[in-house]
Amino acid sequence: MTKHILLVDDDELILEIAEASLARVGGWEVTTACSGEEAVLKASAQHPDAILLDVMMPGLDGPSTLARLRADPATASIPVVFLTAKVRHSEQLQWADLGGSGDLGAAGVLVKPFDPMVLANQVAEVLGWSG
Amino acid sequence: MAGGLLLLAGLAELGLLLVLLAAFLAHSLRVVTATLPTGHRLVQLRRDVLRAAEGEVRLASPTSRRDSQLYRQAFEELATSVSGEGAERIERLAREMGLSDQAARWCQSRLWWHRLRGVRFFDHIGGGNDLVPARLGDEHPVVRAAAARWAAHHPSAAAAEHLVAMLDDPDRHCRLVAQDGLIRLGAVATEPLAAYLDRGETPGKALALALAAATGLADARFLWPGLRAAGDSDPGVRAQAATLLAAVAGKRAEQGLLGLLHDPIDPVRVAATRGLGVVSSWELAPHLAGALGDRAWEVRREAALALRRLGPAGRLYLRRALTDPDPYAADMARQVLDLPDRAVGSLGSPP
Amino acid sequence: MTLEPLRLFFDVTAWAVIGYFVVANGFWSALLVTAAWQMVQHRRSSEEEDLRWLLSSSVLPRVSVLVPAHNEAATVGESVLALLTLEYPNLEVVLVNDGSTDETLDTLVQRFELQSIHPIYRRVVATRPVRALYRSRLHPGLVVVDKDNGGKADALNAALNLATGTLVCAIDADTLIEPAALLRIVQPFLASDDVVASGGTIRVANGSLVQAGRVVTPRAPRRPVAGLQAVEYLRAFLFGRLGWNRLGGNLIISGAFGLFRRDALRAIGGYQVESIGEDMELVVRLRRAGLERGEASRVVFVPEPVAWTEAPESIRVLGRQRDRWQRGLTDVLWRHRQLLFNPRYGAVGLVVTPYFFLVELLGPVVQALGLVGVAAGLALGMVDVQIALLFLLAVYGWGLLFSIGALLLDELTSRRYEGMADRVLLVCWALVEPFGYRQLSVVWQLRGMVRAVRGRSDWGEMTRQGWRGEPFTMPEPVSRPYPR
Repeated sequence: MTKHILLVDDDELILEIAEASLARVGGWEVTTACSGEEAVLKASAQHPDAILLDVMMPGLDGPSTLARLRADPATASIPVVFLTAKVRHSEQLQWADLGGSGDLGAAGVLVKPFDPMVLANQVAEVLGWSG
Repeated sequence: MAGGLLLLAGLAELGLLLVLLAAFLAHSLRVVTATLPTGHRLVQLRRDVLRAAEGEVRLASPTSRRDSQLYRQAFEELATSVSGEGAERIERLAREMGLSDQAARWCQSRLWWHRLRGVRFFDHIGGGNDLVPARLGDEHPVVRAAAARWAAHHPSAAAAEHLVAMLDDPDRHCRLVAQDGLIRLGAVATEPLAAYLDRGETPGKALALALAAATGLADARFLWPGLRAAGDSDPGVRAQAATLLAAVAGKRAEQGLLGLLHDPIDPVRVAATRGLGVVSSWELAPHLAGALGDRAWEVRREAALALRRLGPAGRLYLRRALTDPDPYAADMARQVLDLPDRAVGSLGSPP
Repeated sequence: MTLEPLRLFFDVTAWAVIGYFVVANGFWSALLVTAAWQMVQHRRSSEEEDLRWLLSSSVLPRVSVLVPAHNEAATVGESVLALLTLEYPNLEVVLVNDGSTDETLDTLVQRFELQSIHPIYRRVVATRPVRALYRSRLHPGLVVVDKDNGGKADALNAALNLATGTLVCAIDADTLIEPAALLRIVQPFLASDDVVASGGTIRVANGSLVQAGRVVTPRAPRRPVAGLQAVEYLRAFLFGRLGWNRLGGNLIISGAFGLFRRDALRAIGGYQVESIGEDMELVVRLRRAGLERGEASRVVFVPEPVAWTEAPESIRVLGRQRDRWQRGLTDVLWRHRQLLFNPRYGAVGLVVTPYFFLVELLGPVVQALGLVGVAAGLALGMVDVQIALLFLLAVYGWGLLFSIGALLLDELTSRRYEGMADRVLLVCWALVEPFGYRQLSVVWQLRGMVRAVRGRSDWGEMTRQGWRGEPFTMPEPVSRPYPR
């Protein structure tokens, strides 16, 4: 069965590239959202198999969106992978604690810019999906 | 006379007004009518480029000069948003489309903004190995800086040499790009930079930047340059040396830092204290606790933050300091103990 | 008694006024040319610039954004979040709750999970007592200061004491900063060690669509009062500020959005609480200190970084604001009159300060003199209609050309508006300006100068619309572009 992924990023270009990559290279079904609020709505309506979530967004940012998703039982169990822009070393350490803090945290962190050829594989690896 | 002047002035102003209004309206119309199709075309182009990169379709050539410009924009936007194999495919496509040839012609133009455009194209999309290095010595600083960025993305010994030389550039922005570029180059920049620091004849401002670059590389090779700089007469250099020693780490570096902890100039002591915190060895905790009583506010703060980051051992010293007879030390310990966890780790980078 | 001396008097006055404006506007035209040239160069060098390089680089100094807040409960949460998500890698936001009487602080505590910490800080500049200090559990870069009410200058000083950045960005509580603005406004500090302050363009947000603390869709103001100011701001910033970069630099950085060296600010004792023209006073003092000590003293204006602000919509409030600005200008120039023609201060003393005295200060007086003189002269039959028309052309006609020129420059370079409607609307406001607005401005400015001379220092309150039309009252802001 094809996996369904929800992409969340305020940058349209990233959405385009990631969508193209995940849909064609990964063969998954892809929905997009361009804000945290939209992400929460779409997640509870469509129940995707995973969510790729940008960290820096105006309004509801990544961690806040994650908190909202975890608070709602309908979306609490959907695995989330963070997308973050390349930052300096000291700040990257901080995102690590956003990552694997048990069930309530994110499954992992991926860095932008990503390689569209391998993005799907990276996501699958982080989520522990085979193939 | 007034009449003549009036006629002249009136006609001139009216004329100018009409010209300006016409220019404004004409330009607006052009932009407004072009924007919608441009926006859509750009989105469509990006999709086409992505699909072509994946090998699904063949990309059509640009149809007009304006289209050419859009192609360039689409390619550059995509290239800067992807990495790895995806980026390589986009570069190949750009070459096939003839965009790289055009950029090569620009690199050799007499006009600096054309040269800039060419260099930036190669920086974003890739290639330009034969043309861009020459731009590192370009007469216009903005072009030099762009070439330096390109060099930072193309690691090689030659690139490192060029960037080290650029630390002396007359333009400050170029110097900063060189400093940052050396850090991005990584290991390949270590030897050239160390050799530069060893020569010991670096002019004042360049020395601080070179030390900053060395800090980013954090190689043990920089221990001795760092220790030597710790004795420099310029306090700015000494402060930078402290940061470098902290990055290099090791017993010898720690000793150097401890020496700087007693420097007469405040910012140097601040850097040394922060450095000790970065080294994060619990054996240094007593020294940090001592720094809690420093006369400078910022030193006390760095000491307290460093202790907090140290973990349980540091926290012990902080709690002990709560009952310190020195009210300043006690106050600072109390504030830092109050800080939420997130606030301690962050802003640990130098201001 | 013959009327000849009287006629001569009117003639001389009229020609003198015309001559004055020909010179002043001629100088402004020169500013326009250098501004346009700088814009062209600027666009060329920032074409296809990838700001993401800067975001991941190690050369950017930390910026502390200083936010004074008084009774902003409805908008403070949104504003702070918008600031925390600005595109800048090494960012701190220091918000000062200046003795608010509403739930500003409670809103902040709840929204950002603030934790109270022992309120010690380095007292570099004296301020009214600080009651508490807070850090956020969610956002490491946020610092909140709770203090007794002391006004905007006092609040900024408190924030200055707390700031850990090398550079500080002073803003008004309701300024909306564009995401990439900090990356751009920091550039002059990267290019040179000699820069002590930099400023960016302030645009009028009235009528635009604002969401989550960002201007989502810029639109030209629909109502005349705001619309006229929109044109005025564009003219002042794109010509005035930018033009001065090459001629000795600016003496004013808008209080709504400016970047300063923290240590230089601290060294001069921060903002003066009792002064009226706070932001101009600060910059003049900064530059003086820098020039006197041989330290950083240059002020650079960068056209691209943009902050949006809400302009007053009521004539009365606008009048009070302009009155206050001119009062401030007079006050500052008087305090620093030693700069005038003083070669010790280089271009600042020889070019910039004389300009401010002779054009910014004297301008409204000469204009008023011209208006009254020409009107009286016409009524008495002492002044030729031709001379009167010449006067109008020299003052208002030329001014109109500047306005349209500014709109054209903006159109060629930044293109913020989406459709023709907004652009045409702006042109309409520009065409209307000489017919009443400029004259009204003169009245306000004269009032301000008279007050300054009399030494009255009442503050005046300004009522704020708020983005949702809810009125707030806030101590009057002092952001000041050049009005012309």
